[in-house]
Amino acid sequence: MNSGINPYSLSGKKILVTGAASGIGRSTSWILSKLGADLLLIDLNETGLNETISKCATKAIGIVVDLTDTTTLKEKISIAVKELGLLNGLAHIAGKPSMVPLKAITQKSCIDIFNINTYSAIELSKIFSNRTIFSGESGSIVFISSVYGLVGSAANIAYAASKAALHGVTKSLAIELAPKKIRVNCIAPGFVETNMLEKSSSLFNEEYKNNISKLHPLGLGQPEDISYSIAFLLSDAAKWITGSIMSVDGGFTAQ
Amino acid sequence: MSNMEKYVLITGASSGIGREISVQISQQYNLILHGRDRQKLESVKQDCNHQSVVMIWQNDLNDIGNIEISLKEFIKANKISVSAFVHSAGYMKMLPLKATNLKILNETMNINLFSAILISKVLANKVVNGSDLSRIVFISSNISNFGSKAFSSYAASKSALDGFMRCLAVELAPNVRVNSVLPGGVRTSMTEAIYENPQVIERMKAQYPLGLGETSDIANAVGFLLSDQSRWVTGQQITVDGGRTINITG
Repeated sequence: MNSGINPYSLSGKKILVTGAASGIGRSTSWILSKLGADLLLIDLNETGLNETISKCATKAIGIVVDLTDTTTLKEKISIAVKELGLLNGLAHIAGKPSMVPLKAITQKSCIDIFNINTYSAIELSKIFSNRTIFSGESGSIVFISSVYGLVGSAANIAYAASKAALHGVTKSLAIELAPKKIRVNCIAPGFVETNMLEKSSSLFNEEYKNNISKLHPLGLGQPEDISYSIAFLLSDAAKWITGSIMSVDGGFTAQ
Repeated sequence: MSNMEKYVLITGASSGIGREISVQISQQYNLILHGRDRQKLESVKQDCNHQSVVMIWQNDLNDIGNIEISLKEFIKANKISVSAFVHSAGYMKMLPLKATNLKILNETMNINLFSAILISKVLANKVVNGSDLSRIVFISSNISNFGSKAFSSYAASKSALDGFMRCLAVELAPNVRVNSVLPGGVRTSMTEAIYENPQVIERMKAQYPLGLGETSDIANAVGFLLSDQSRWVTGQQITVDGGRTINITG
């Protein structure tokens, strides 16, 4: 806090957020906005995206696009960047769960999960680091993986593989993009109470939820618990942090 | 306990990373500055926010048998309770195995590990400190998970500190969050010996993808772990090293 500057502030920064229509993506959009950032928000769900935008305190532009549609993604982002200005940060939050036991796994379902959870992170990084998109200053990319990128559980092969792969992407990109002044880090969340968890656990009862909660010494998380760590990694307070996998999991992986 | 004021205890506050943490977080918290040299601590106090209450606990952590009593008496005499603990005191002696001896091992372990354990024990004791303790942050090192020549004693103490950190995080949840910050090489009085050789500085620069770090880079991560914004972060090693430990090309 030298000379009264707040290093955690995002004032003046422009940040791209994916998965912005709900859950962690929505809460992150609101928190980044409160911290002063202008936003470029991406999701497939237009209604949800507009709701997110309506409660942002700063300038926020929405793009409705499928992240796996690599033919139009760059063009749509480029057009929005012309309106918003060159970007400083990318928070890639969009993701898809998959609970399928080995005997029911198919190549197609694996590739689908990989495309949205992993390849889109690579494609977005490629677009973001382009000098027609990235401002050249305070560059920071944050990916969201999962505790299941670090530890094991049954019927989780495709999801775990797609998230563990993000850790490799994080470390490789951190080295590759350091000369461009872009930091690359990843947050591995534990179970956060969002709709995505509801969807994947709707097959299970309250007891299942209790059991999951017990895995976390601090209990289940809230979306903003992840958002604040994203905000930290996007800020200049984290300017010497790159290539790190930061677990925000209520102590899940400490046990 | 309601008339007690809340304080953050910072060990090794007289110089380097501990000093920077103290000055930064004095914007938000009352402080207890710990160190051996009262004069140096008084000078740090001058640099802290004058709106905050800043106390000085003069103590030598190498005098390990005395720590618990000294801290208990300090808390009692000042009628305070400590809500957070930052262990920034560190002792680093670069020595190859053949030159390692018990005296240096003891000093390394006393300052880097045993004092962290005993101070945590005192602060988690409700009779002594009430129920106010809510955060602990250890300054570990990125060497905690890796190997390097002539660092064996130091690395052993830091790996042990992180082992303790994870267990304490589980044992004290959900009331106390416990985490480590793992800095890469930051130039301070403790690490000055490394930086004496200009060739070594050049070599280090090449190994750090983001270049060399500053004490404020570490203090910012500590500030985050002390804040409510890291409410769901516990038992973690937060590496702040400019990408040094993921770099195999350097």
